[in-house]
Amino acid sequence: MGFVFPNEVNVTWTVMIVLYPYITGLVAGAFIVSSLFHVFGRNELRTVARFSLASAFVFLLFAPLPLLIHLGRPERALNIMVTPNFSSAMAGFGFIYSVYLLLVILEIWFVMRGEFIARAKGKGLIALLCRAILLGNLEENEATRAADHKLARFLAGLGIPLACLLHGYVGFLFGSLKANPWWSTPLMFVIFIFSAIVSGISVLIFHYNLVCRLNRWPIDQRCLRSLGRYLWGFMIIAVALELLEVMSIAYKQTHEWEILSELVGKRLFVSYVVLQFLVFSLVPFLLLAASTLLKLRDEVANTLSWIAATMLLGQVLLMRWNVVIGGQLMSKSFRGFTSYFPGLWEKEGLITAAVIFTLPFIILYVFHRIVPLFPLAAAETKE
Amino acid sequence: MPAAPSYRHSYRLFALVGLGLVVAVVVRGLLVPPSFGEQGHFRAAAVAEARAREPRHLGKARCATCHKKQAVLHEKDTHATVECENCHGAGREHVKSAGKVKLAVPRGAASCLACHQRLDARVSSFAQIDRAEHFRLVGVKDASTSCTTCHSPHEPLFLDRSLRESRLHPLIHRCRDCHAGPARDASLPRPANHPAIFECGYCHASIVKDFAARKHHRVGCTTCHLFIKESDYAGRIVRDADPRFCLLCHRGGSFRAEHAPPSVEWPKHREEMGGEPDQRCIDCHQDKIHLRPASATQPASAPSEKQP
Repeated sequence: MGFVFPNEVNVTWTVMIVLYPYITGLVAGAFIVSSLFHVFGRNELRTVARFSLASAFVFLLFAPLPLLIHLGRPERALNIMVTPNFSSAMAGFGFIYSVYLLLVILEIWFVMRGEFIARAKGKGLIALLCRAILLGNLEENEATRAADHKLARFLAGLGIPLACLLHGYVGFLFGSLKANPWWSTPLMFVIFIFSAIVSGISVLIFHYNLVCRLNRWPIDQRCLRSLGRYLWGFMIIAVALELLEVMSIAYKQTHEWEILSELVGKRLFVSYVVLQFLVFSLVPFLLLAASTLLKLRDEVANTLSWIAATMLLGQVLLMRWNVVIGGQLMSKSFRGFTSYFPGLWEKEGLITAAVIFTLPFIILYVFHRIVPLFPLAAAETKE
Repeated sequence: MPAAPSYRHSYRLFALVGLGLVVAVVVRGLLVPPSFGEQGHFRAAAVAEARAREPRHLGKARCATCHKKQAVLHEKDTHATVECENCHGAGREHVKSAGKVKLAVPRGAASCLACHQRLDARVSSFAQIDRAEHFRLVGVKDASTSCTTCHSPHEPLFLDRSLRESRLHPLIHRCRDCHAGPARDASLPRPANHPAIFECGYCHASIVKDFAARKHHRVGCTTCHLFIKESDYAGRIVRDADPRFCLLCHRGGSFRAEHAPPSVEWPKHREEMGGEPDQRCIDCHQDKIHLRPASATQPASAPSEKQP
């Protein structure tokens, strides 16, 4: 254990704090994909544009949940917005989160207004709910749709810097802790943004593949290959930045490297070196390279990108684990280490984490039951 | 002619958002406590409220009014300075309900190790263990064995006289308190401002020399003659000769490994040997320890019959 101060023996930021940046990252990544279509006109992503926006929304709903479960007095959480203390790094989260949530809701409202109107014209509880969501106005024509599209495009454009700010902010929470050499680097913000985009695209590929296979819908090959290419590009940047950061500290051989080298080489060797880099970065890199560069059959390319996306979801989760938990394993004395692994049934344990991570998918399914997220795919199957 | 776009829905939506913002600002204004910010970034009235609040922790004197037996043991032994509520939690509700609200009784090792986990950062005079190493030393094979299997939390070391009645002794500075590694050559010159070193043998040479040739020579002097620091200059030294202290290492049990120190069943062993009820291990096995010092007598208050 070495020289560990008594108040450092127990790791206080648990797996809940690992899950918080992970889910926030999925939001930012999914939103960026939807913006590629809505703002930058990447029409090949039309198939997943709504799905990615809805994914961003449901993950956003659950992003603060791990934090609330971690808090001893969650009912006091809103105090950071009622009486914000701007000398606290956490003070800004409530505001950035609220503005971003509002923006995503507005964008969804404008993008999916047509579908809500179609449902609102029916009968029953869902129709009533849709009318309430539409604020009682069901007027629609081509010109109105075009005007809505313009507004949605403006909101999506505004959302890109906000998405970067939201997730960059999560990186800032760690990067600004100057007492911890594993966290304290300005590169942390950038690494978090790129890894967020990687996880966001990955969850879309994973989920789109899964949904198509389960429903026997035809896969939009152009869309999936495009997503695969984006994922490949962004993962190269994300992993390169992660490597550059640690290589830069290693090369400088500053006094922190003495403890960080042991952290990387021994304590986090399996989760960081072996799993995060050698398995969950290198293998997806090769799989995505193969599916992008080689002329493979669609089915093979899809399977490769599906496996790569699933592994990259794991890579980003490992990255969050290694950052959040790794940073707490070493003592501030720089001369000792503690250890941590969550229990299964603890309040902040693995089962709680699994339930939290499952909830957005359930809400996404409910969302899909109200407003179909893949109208094109469903229509093609019917034809 | 194409229909003109309708913005009515957008106006409604943005009006709703605007209304929401206004409501948020108003609600925020209502939620900020009146005394907030008067003395800093907190609610000034909170200080008076906290002061007026009835304490949840009552202190061990209050516990002693009902739990006399535990209090006597607790006051006598090494946990004398530890508050009951440190382990059992705040006692206010327990007292108010006349014992109907039960207090926590921590089991397992975690609550003990919160203080006694060996850490280089803890002062060396504080009792601390590495659990695996401790179990190896005393021959415990079942790693899930709770600390309370051998140590009573109210009387963890079974001191044979009260801690506060024990002898005052100059502070012990040992070389290894500051210097890691093997013992250095004592003849080497020390820096001028080096603190004085007290190895036990400096004053108790004959006993230490004799001890080195006996069975227990691997056990440190302060394992049995516990030293509890009281100031920067002195502490209490406690001799442990209560049979239950010896049994911490020598008691037989299913959790003991084969390599454990020789074990006995107590008080069966004493009865088999025809010992008196107040007979102590040391009365027969002094030769396993060291010479009996000239000053050694029976404890001031002879221990009553104690069951391990």
